[in-house]
Amino acid sequence: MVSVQDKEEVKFFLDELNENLVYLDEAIITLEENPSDAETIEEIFRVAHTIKGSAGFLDLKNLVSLGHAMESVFQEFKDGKIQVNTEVITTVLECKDAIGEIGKLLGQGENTETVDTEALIQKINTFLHADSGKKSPAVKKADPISDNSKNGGELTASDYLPGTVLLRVWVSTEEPAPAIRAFLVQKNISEVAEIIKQKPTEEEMDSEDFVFPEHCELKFWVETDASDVTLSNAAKVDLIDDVKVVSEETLKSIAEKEKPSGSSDQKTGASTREEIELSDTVRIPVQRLDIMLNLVGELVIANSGFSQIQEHLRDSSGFDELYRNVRDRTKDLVRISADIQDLVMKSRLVPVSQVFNRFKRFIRDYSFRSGKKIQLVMTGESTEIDKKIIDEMIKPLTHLVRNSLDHGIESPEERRKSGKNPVGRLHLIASQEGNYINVVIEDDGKGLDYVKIVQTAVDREIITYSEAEQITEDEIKKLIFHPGFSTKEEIDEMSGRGVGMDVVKTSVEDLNGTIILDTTPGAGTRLTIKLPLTLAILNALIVRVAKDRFCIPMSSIVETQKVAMKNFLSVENNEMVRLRDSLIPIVRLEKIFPAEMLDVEGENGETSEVENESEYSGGIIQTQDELPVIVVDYHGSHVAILVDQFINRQEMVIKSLSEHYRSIEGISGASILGDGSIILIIDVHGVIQLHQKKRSKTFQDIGPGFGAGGDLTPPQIIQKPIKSPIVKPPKKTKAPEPAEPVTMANLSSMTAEQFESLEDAETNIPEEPESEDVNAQEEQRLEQSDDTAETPVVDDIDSDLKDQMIEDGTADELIEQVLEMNVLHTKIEGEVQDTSPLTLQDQKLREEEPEPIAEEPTEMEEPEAIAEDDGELSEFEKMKQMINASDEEPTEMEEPEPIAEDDGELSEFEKMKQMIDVSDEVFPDQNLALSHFDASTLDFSLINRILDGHDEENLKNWLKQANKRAIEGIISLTGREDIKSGKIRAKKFSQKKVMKHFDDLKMLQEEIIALKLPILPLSGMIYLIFTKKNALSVCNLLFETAQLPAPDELDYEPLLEVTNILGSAYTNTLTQITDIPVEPGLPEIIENREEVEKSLMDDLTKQKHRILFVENQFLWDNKSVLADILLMIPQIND
Amino acid sequence: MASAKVEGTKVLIVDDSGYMRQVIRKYLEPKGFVIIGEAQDGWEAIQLFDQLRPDVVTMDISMKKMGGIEATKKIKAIDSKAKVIMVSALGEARFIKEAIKAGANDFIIKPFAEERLVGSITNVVGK
Repeated sequence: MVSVQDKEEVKFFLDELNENLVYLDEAIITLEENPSDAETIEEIFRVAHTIKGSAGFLDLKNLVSLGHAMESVFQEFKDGKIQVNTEVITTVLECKDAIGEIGKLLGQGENTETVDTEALIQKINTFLHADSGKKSPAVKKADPISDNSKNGGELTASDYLPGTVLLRVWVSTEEPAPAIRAFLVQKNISEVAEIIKQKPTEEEMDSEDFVFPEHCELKFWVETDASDVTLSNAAKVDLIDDVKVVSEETLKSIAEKEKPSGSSDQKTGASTREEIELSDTVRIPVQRLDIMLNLVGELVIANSGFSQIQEHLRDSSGFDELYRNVRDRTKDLVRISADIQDLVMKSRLVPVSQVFNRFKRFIRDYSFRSGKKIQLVMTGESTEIDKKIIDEMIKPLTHLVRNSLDHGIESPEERRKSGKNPVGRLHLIASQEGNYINVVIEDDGKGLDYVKIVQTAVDREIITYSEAEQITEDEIKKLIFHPGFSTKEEIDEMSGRGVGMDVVKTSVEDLNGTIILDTTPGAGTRLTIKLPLTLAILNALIVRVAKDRFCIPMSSIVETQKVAMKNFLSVENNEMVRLRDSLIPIVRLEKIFPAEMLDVEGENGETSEVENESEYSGGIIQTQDELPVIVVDYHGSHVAILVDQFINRQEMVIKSLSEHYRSIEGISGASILGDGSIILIIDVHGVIQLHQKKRSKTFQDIGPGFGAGGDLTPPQIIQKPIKSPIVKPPKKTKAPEPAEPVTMANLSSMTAEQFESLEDAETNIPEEPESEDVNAQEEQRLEQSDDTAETPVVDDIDSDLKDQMIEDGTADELIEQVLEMNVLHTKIEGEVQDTSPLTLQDQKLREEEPEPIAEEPTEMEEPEAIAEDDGELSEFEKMKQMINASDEEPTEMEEPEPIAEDDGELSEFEKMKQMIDVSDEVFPDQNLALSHFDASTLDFSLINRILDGHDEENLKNWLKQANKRAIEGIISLTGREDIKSGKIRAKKFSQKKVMKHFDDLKMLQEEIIALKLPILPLSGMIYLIFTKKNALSVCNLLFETAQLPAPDELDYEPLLEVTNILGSAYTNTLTQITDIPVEPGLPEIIENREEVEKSLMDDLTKQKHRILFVENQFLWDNKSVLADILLMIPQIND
Repeated sequence: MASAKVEGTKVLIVDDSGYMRQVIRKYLEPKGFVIIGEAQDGWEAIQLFDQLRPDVVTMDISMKKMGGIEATKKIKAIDSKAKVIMVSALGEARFIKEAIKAGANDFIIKPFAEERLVGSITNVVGK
């Protein structure tokens, strides 16, 4: 028996118990909805049984009783003795709750016997069929025979059976199931001898009322040639205390001496039902995973050190071999650590259903008590998210669901009156979007009551009457997120108590998530919560402030801009920046974190110091005329954080802060950059609060917030009614520009007074500063929470230019020739447009100034979407058997070689590359590593040249290598040496052609599936388009390899495998060829033709891409399987 | 009965409860048994048995996919000398008997004490 004292055991038990309870909640409700669901009955029975079985080990008697009671009920459901009805279900749910209660007490180390289960069990018993199950629940362990004297039981004359030997077998009193023991013994004996007679008889042993014989003795009379030892051995199994073989002679002599006597007293062996368990896998505490992740992060960083050594070797003469060795080993190391990182990351993910399922019960109970009828619909509940995040989200989600039930969904009467289905509908949706998970709570209730909200806001002095008069819809929506705001007039039993939406919002934001509210009065409300996939990874913008680098979570950023000096001004002693029509208060990071403050030792005893500023200029041209500004959201208002430079955008592994740093307000954590330096993560809200504190010390007389423009003060510290939080157009029509450009240095050190003095400088503010600024290109605008780095791009860019170039068919021909390799046919044609990834400023620039783009025409041929010739059309026909099978197993990957950069300015670039090299090795279906950075800092001309057919050799090389890599990957994945490469062909595609191609696909009448793989950081993508049939055959091949039975339905896992392999084959080899670090992102499955089409069209219209269409064929078993790959690489600045 | 060498006896644990597997492992490892594998259903059990050839298998009865009886039959078909111990609960007498018919060498009733498990394995392996 396991002691309850054994903490680890108990914890393990509880983990499993809780998992089972969550399941029970869901399953019991499911059963209620569908009472004839035999499968669910069976499952619940099993689970109840498991609980009982495991509880027995901990000797938790009342838990065993409850488990047994539930088991009995479900046994009767199974046997059809009783029917599923609300009453029984409610009682069963109560049992389940009581089990939960016991579990809770156990977890707290308290006495579990205090939970009274007697009443419940009585109640359960009343449901049970008259003649069954009413026996008291079976906690009792078998308590077989109290008095067992092994040698007792004298033989009598009746024991003599001519021609037989008597085997006397004594079963241990410890045996809880003597009947079965007897059966086992009998079976063993029967293998070596013929049993003529036995006592108890076979029938007796089979009987349910089997009573154990006197002295726990079994007697077998057997005919045999076997030796006594053999006989004895056969009978002597575990829990047999003794076996004696009595010879025929002995028996005979006894019979002759004595008269038969004695009778059998009978004793009962307990017999109750019991069964087994259910659950799986090894449990690992999340903390342990955290530690692992941390270590892996360090490993990745440590590895970059090797890359440096490697470079040293490469650049020094006479170390060629050593260099190669080091390079190869480093490669392995990097790859392995990346794999581990990925794995650790993945092990933290759990399906959202863990939380969603809780609501089934919740809603059922709610319906019962409130009289509202509610149907719960869940979508995407298998979407996975970091365990920690989902745990943190339980409360906020519960609150939101409650809100929907309380305030959203109306009573059936009300609903009928308004012509709605009396049954309200609550829809919980989870979906993944890049590195984010969207959780949507949607109801079809009455929506928000705007009038009531505004009224409340005015009553609570959140807004003034005059503001209320002109309040907009958006502003109203924001109001409900104000602290303490609640339209709830009364608090009932079911509803949350005084927890406002602001708390929900804060919880979401603490997780680096966002929350958006949509409502249609009368029709329903929808709340969309966007959460990062994991807390361990932060998508952040790295900035420089003086000599320090910081990172700012992308989730907090509304936009980033470079703003001309003239737009910085001071209003009533407040520093402001003018952005479009708004004046936004400024927070200066260098004032919040003076350099000396951070000159403390970090974990590595290093500070993230910048030796040489020019190092950081990267691709961003920095002038003194502009300052980089990051606009963040602060309780619905905008605040601008002023920094010295944007460095790049990156995904960082978050490290826990040492104690020393933990106390720094405004810092939420730290990460380590590839060069080993520590970088602090800014807590945006903290920083703004800090700023306010500092200001209020300095300008106590100025009043709350920043005055005109944006209101910085969070409502909770507002003393008197203040303005609506919405940033309004500035009241000032005058805004100054400094007489002479203010340099960054002096601006950052400028005092408020000095700043103010700038006011006089100029009066005329241009509407859109960026539009007349030649350096507008430096503006950087990052979409809030956009992690995939995709950037919408203007559609109608230089179409003239395009047309002009299209007619030039030379590129096509060139490429066509290029790819006639071991492959049958190759062709490329193309379209090129001008789009920069990641940054919107380029887009803007293009909108306004198309000319600069045209300056690089060499890279920018734009073959038009001309109708394809017949030959190409026939190729489409062949694509009917599209499929891809390609593989790049991580172990096969090669790390692109670091490029030699002799330019001093490039050393940072080098560093980045190292980091990228690392991430490049990461198992491709994740982009969680240190990978994202500002693509605009890289030179993409090589890629462009290749895609445009200007670099035949590299194009050829690339496809050849990609194909080779893919085939190697496939072979290593499948172990099938007989898989061969078929043909590969590539075509450059225009948007029109893709559409046309798609039309052709439609003709196929076959269901298709697409896997979409982003190419990072280019915001390019790879589409792998499979017909369902071919997808299945790929799937089956992999199952066959794994020696598993092929599933009936298409299993996406193998497809994802293949997609990753193929995706990384293409991206890694591209990197190899061009030295431009690209990598595949997270693959997304798009399930049917319509969706594929929609997604494709979306991408095509949103962004202009160079499109390369690759058909890649792999053959096995004489079956040909084709990969239809659409590579879309956005136009990149050359 | 020969007193078996416990040391190094290779055990395959088959149980759909992680908790149960943990318990069994915890009981056995300190005694010198080597847990060479864990399976959570009968199907996995067969695969692992074939692959690992344990000296003894502890086998749960009711599991998803494939139950313990079916798995026992299959294992016995792979190796008629395979040692299988059913680990089960009271009330499953019918199933245990079926398992015994299928060739199970012993059975243990849950909940069981450490000595029970060790005793049973020792006994079965010693034969």
